[in-house]
Amino acid sequence: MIWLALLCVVFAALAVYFGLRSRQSDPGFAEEISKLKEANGQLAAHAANYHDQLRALSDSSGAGMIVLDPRGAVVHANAAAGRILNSVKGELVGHALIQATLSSEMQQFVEGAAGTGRPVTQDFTMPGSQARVLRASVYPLAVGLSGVPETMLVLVDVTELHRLETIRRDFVANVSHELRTPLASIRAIAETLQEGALEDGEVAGPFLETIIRETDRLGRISQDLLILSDAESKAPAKNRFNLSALLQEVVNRSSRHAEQSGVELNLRVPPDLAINASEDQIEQVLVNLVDNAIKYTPSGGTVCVEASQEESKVVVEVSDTGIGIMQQDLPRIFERFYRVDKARSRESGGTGLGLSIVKNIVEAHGGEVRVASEFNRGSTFSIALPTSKEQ
Amino acid sequence: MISLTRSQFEEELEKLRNMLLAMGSEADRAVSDSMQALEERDVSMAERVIDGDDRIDEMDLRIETECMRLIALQHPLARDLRLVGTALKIITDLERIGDHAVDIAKVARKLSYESGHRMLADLPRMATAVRRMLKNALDAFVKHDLSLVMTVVDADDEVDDLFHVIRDDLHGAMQSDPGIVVEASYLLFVAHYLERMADHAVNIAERVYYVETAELSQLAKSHRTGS
Repeated sequence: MIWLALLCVVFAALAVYFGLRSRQSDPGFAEEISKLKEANGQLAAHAANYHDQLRALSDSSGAGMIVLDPRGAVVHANAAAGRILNSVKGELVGHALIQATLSSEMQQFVEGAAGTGRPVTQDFTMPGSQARVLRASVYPLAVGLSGVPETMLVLVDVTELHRLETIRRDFVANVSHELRTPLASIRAIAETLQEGALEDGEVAGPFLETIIRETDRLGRISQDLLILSDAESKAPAKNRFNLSALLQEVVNRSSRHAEQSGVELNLRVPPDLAINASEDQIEQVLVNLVDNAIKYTPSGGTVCVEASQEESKVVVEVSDTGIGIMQQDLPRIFERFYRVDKARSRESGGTGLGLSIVKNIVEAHGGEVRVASEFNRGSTFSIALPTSKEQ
Repeated sequence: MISLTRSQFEEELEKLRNMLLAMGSEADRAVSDSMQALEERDVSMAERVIDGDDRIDEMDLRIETECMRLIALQHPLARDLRLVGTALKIITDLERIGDHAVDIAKVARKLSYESGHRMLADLPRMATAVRRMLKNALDAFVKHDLSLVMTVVDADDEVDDLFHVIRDDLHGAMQSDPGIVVEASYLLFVAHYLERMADHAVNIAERVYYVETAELSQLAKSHRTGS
């Protein structure tokens, strides 16, 4: 029986072989094979082309795109992913995400999100020193690049967005705080006066003075906010003017304040320094810097205002031998309402907006503000303004 | 011995590497959060860092167990053995960094109850430098990059210099205003904890150097002189 079955198989194989041989000699069959080969080649070229297009599209995206296999290893990463994670592509593919991010928090998030079956997004502060914030969105893919369920991770650097959002939030909180403080004081005094203090001349006098002082402060805050808003939203109305004369005028006006504070105020400026700028705004900048310097310099100290021409810019330096600014505060002193010493600043009538105004006006003129300071030794604020007529 | 194929063993080593990085990431977060707690005198953040240390300790034990398992069952040799041995050393350094972050969090908690001057000296800058060292040491481990190892070693000298400047500043501040002695002395401790963390980051970098070159070497000047 077995022999018979084997014989049948051999005959069948021979029949197929000779059948194919006879078809190969058939010109129609050969043509069919050649067409199939050609179609196959075209399909392969098409697939390669499609693959290249997909890669180009993925690489042209500003967002980092990473595909992870079910074990959590990277199977695809676009160019932006490498840039955002500061890794070359070879370092990403084949390894777990944590090797590029060094963030166990993000790793756990991606692993957790992959199981939920729906897209999720979260922001992460990355390890290291630069406080970078990445927004990670995870999209589970039912069928991924390898034909199995995969996870797509999209990374966007939102560090700047976070910084601006923090500034906005702080600004709103600070404005309401700054406005509420004098208003609360005025209301409390008005109630006390209403309850009978108005009849007592000795008490009423100082109370009314406080009301006037607090309303003045509210007025200064609203005025400074308007100046700040103008500097931010409108281009400066420039004209050519003599900066040396303006500096002389500002110093003359501040000399009384300096004298009362026991501070020596010096001016060193060459004659006829000219710039093309908004005279009113630059005057505001100089007044703020000189006023601050006098305010924060103890009696017996010196404030020096110097100006010089340096190539295509004029540099004005206001230096003092005052209380200085701690290193920790230096990066924040130009923020609105940021005060190094809150009590002292309010006591001296400051609105907390002076240096913000300086920075905004100078930058609106294409200039630059710098500060160098040593705690308990003094500070030097310098502004550089372009002098060219075209500016 | 349960013998694995080379690729299975590679996979086990990759898992070990990822576990180490996860522990490094937790240690870095503890440092960052403890400094934020100190800067903002934030009690709840400080408590979170203190409670979170258990997680780092658990990772320490888990990785140690994994290393012992690999040594016992796979008898790793040459570079593989150096990697497993290094993992055992690195987790001790990371665990100590986590402990110092807890120390800083405790100072933050203590100072937040005091109506102090909210001094910080240059500690945030020092912490930034230390976190950069830790990140570079972990990056060197992942990327087998000896130049990053040397970056960590060089940065240790900068952190030591910064420590001396902060110490002198705080001594000066204490002399000029006795009212800040308590606060400043706590900050001196913080500077010391950060300086120790930097030393641990250097230890990690030296171990990476060992994995890559098979040379055990005290690369940092402070380690060589024992200062």
